[in-house]
Amino acid sequence: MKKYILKTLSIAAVLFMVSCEDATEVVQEGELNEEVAFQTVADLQSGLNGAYAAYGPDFGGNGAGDAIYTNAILSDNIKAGQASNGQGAQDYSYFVDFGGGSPASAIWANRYATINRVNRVLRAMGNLTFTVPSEITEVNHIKGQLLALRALAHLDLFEYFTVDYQDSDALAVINVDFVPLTSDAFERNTVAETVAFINADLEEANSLIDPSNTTVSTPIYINNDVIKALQIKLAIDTGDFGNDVLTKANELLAAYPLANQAQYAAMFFDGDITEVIFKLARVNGDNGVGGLFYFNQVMPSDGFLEMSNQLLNELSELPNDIRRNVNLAPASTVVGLNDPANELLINKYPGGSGGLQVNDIKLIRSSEIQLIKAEIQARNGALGDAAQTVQDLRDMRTGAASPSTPYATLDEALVDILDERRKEFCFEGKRFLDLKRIGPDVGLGVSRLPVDCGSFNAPCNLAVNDFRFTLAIPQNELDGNNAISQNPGY
Amino acid sequence: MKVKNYGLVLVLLFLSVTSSFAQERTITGKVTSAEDGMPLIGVNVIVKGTSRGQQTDFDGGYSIQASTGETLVFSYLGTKTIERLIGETSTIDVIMEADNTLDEVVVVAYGGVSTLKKNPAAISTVKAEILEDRANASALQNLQGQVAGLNIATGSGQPGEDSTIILRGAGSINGNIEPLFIVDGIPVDEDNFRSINPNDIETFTVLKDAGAANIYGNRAANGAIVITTKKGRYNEGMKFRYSAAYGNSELQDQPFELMNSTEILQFQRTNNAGLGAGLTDSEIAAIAAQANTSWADVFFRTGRTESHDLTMTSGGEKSNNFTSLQYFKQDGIFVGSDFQRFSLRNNFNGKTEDEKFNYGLNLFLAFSETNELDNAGSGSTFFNPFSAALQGLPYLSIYDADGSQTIDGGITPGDANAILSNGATNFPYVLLNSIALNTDREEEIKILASFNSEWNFAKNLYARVQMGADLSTESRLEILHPNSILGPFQANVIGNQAQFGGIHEETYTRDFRFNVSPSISYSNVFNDKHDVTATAYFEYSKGFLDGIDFDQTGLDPRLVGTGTSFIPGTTVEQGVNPYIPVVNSFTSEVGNLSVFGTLDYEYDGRYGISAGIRRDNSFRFIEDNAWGTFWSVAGRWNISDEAFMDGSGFDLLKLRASHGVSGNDRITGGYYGGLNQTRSLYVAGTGYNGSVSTVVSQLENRTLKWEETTQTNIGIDFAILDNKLSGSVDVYNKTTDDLFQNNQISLINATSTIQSNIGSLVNEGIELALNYRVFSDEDWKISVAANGSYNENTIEQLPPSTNGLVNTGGSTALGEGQALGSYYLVRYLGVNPSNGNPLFLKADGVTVTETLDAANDRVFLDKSFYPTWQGGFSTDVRYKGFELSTQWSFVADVWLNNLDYADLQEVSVGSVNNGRNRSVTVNNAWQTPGDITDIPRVGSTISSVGYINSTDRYLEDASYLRLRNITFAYTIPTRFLENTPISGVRFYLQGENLLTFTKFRGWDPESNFRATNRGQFPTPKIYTFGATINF
Repeated sequence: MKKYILKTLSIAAVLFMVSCEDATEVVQEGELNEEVAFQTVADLQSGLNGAYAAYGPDFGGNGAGDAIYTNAILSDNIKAGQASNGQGAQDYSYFVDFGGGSPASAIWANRYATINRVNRVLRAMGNLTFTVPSEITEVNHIKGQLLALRALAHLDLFEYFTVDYQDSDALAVINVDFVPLTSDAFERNTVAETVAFINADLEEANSLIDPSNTTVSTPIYINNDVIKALQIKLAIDTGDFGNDVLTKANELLAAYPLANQAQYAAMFFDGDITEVIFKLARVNGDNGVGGLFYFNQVMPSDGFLEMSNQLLNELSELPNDIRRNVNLAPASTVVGLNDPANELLINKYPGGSGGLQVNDIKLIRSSEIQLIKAEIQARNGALGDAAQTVQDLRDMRTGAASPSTPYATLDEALVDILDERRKEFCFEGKRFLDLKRIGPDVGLGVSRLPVDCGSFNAPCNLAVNDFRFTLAIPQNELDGNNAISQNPGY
Repeated sequence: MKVKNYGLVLVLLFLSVTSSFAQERTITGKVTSAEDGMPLIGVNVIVKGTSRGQQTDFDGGYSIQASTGETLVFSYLGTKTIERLIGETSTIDVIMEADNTLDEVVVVAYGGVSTLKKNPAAISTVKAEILEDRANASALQNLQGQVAGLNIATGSGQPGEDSTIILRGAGSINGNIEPLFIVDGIPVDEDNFRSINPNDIETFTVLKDAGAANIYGNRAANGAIVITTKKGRYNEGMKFRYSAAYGNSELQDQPFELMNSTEILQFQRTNNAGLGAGLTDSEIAAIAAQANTSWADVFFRTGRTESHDLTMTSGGEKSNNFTSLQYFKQDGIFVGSDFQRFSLRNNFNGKTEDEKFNYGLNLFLAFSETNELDNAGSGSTFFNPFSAALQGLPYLSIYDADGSQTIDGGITPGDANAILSNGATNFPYVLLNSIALNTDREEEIKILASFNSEWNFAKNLYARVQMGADLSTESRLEILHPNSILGPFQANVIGNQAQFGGIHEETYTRDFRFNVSPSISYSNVFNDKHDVTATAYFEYSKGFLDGIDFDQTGLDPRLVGTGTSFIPGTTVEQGVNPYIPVVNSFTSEVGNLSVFGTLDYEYDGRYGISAGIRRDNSFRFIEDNAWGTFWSVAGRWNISDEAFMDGSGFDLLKLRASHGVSGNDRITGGYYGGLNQTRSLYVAGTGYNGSVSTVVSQLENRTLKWEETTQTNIGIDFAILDNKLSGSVDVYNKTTDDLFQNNQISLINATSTIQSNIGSLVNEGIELALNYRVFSDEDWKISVAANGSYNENTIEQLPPSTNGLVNTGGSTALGEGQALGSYYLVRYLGVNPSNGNPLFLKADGVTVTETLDAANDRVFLDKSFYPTWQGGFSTDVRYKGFELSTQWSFVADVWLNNLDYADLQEVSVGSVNNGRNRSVTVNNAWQTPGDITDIPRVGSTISSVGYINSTDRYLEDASYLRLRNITFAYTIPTRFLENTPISGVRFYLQGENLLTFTKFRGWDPESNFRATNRGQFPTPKIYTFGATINF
């Protein structure tokens, strides 16, 4: 038997003696961890490039999307297009939906993804040491932009998900200045905390931005002016209409004059930046914002969402208003006033060198600062100044100077400013938030024309102060975060 | 033979082993059939307890080396096994009695064999001869309805399309749900059977329970399907078999009626939209007289099938060989779809003079080419050809002005207005044009090679090696022709004004999987009653997937087909580079390492126990989680062999029980999926303003571990009435723990889910299989068989954060206490007679509302897209040379959301002029108060997609009973062939899927477990005529 045992063992030895580690320790080609990913200033810059790229108020398409889609579909600037297969019908009808793909989910997820990318670069930056002064300046410039981007994302979240911007103790959003652990749960911070958090980020960012860096000369990167504009927006959200804010607005208006008609038209073809304080660059291969309204491009029978007759009527109020020409495509068919057969093609995003549906996203323009200035004046009782400030903008848009009529009341002033904002910023992701912020002051909610809401067979009105003016905390956040509280009404 | 004197047996055993070389001599004989006295070919003759064996030759003869005192075992499919003790005589003739299935060889794991009588596990074997000559390109499709508990769901009429296979219910949420596939001992890609020649297959063995499959522990949580291919026989003359088949395939019957030109134009007129708006009766009649096109007739066609098979077998004393060649070609029933395959197989077996060593080599090479149509299921108007076939408007003419069939409808390439106007009415022309001009081709070369050897290197000790490789290389070519209607739209320049259109995409992938498994086995019989086998194994597997891919936009229309047509990326038009190609390269690697052992013990033939244990390493997990321990125990009791059962009438009554645990490491399902989920990773990608970015791409979960499936099975095998009626019953409980699931995490992590091991899922069921030989005499043979299974699937636990419900917004959701694939929808109640609006039931089950509140009113409907009932039955009637057989399959309690039909009933606001035809039922839409109808008013709010996503209005019962196959065949009596070289001729006529009984309102109720049917490629009917000649 002994020889069998030997034989068995030797055969076993031959059969089983093969190297095995290559079957148990398998690491794929091209795996990149954080330590290797971020080692140099250039790596940090590429991290910043990723953070900028994440921020997408223009994202979406085919009946879903982020801020631009949300503000259009949830307000009064849209009707169903000739090519509609029902894109956006449920949102337009105010069906309560905060599941995956809903506006609430899109905005919440996008802003926190942006914040996450920012915080990861900041964490990596904290683990690196730079000694060369020029490198330190460069790293600080990157950090400044990261912090401002983080503030911008928090500001957006604050505006969509907070019921009352001025109720300090009410819930706002989760302040995130860290890379979270997947196992953790988080409750929302209060309004006071979130506002303080955004302000702190903006202030620190303001001190870190290098004014001599080449990126500050182009409006596609965050510079001190962008930060100033964000500070103004946060201030008026929180009811601060003080002189400091007015001063900042005037400083920006001095640096960024309002565009004339030609410049204004060219701006939407990305050919002019006269009044652009900040825009998101969109190049070949990026998300095409036109996809929010069209399957392919601005052309008849291709738009599933069209401009509402109500908006067209407003844009047609003043003779020679460049905004009608900019927003309504020449290929549109206007059969008659409020005619259901009108095909009103949206032309704010006609496409550019980046592709058929690709345009830069003009996020902050000096016309917005101009109208904020008017609002500050009105709320401080300077109703005549306010009327003149609004009229100055109108004159630039119509190309002809007209005298202004002072507002009789604050209400009248706010209604007019709200209306002017609608014309100026339609399809730019502001209308719904404007109605949310200013609407309650003047008793206005969404009130669509029957011809517009009829195109979707949808309700025409959303009452002022309706709970749906504040978006729901999305279902997938509730599912993954058992510490968070939902907004009222949902 | 009964030996009472154990002492004598011991002596004999001892003698036989120690003196075998000296006393071995040649035993010869002839094996004949008791039924007709004819020689039986291919009877297995083995010397008991050894690996010496061979098969009888053409005249039923055999010749084998054996010693006095050894026992010869004669076994043959469908006959009783006979044992003969070798005494003085050297000639042993045997007459085999027919009709005993109990000793049939059953293939078990790792190349082992057992018999139905001895096997303790739940195993079903399908002999491929009953599937031979069927007209499906994929061998697996033939299996549907053949095995209790096994569901082969194809859900596409593309020849060679991959099937989704589930055995005893879906056992994982995110992980792999398909069984392991083994071909000739080596694991193969379960998603690629199109290149394998179905006629090479000898048997399919389905290993269902822990006792059977667990030895494949790390991969067989969903069971295993072991495929054995045909072999030659020792001592057999050269033989040829040639068979050829030709046939046609066509579309299934259409269980709904579409509007004709007049009807749709009248519908448009009534609702004042589209071409029909404002037309007079005579104008409508004029249009209808010009065109009343059935787009289904345009896109579907009668497909051709052709196949040629040649096999050659031969065998010498120490080697045998099987060679097969096949050519198979089948057109899809949809234009532009076809498949062809050429395959070559050689299976060689050899052994030494002393029969102590034997080996086999199986080599298979195939080339296949598939032309197919992408975008089945897509909602993309200009890319889903199946929707065009269903919904194209009848008043569009299919003819050009000169009377020939059009391929462009008169549309100039790049004319956006022509294709978008009137709700993209012209989309069928676009699809027709794309199919005519574009290319979508896959070419695959597949090589399967396996080697096995066994060396009886010492008394009772065997060393074995099994190794093999599965190589698939696929080259895929997709060309969107620059001269097609859509061609000019492809270059990304404003206004479609780029000079060159079209896209050329090529993908090349290579998938190589290698496996080696050596083992050492000890096998002995003590006291003639204690039969023990113990085996130790080691297994090493690796897989590599590599590939490259490129997309070139901008093709020179004169040169389409190769790189010569590519417009250089440096070309500048309108200040930009519109023709920059996109290139990609990828590689993945997987590995597994296992050690394991098995022990089989049998007492007196009546009792048997098998046990196995294994340790498996997966690279997908880290630290302590990398190694998993899996085990199984199975036992049997052959009650019918007990003395007290004498005269009971049972030819077999066997009780089986098994229990075991097996693992799954395929976190995301795919063989190459979820490779590094334990690590957080970054990628460099496209950043802001055309820069390069560095962003996080994956969040780690360092706690990932094996998903474990624990299965308990109790079964009974029985045979009564002289084995005329046999069958088996099994009940099982299969619980999967530590399920691979998406655990919901806060979105501040930049993603909403992370792969985790959470929760559990249970499949419980019962299976029944019956075979009954109704009648058998010299002329007539009638038999029937049936199988069926019931499987109840329940999700027991979901991630705690979800509160027992994961609803990602579609029509199905995961819910605790619900089955996987359960629909979660608002209940539709019909149409409000007073205003024509749809009515829904709120979640409370009482309140009726017109407001669809999809966020709050969804409920689980106790309906899933996985069936609970399934099975099949077959009949076989033979009279002399004639045979008529049928095979049926059914699934029941299975549901499918029918978006196709919803589209045909689309009446939502603004949809009248959406460029699509309607079902005639739309004429019943609500019009005036008081109308009682099931179609809401034209112009109501909710679109077809809205109904599908949120309501159960179009959730239809997709149960079906299908005549999978019917074959009528005639074999020419051998007496007519006596003076010819031909030894047999058989003709047959067969049909696939000729009859389907279903309530589902679509071309095909069969789906591969999808939630929604939209624009899918339906399963065809196939008729073939064939002949087989043996010579």
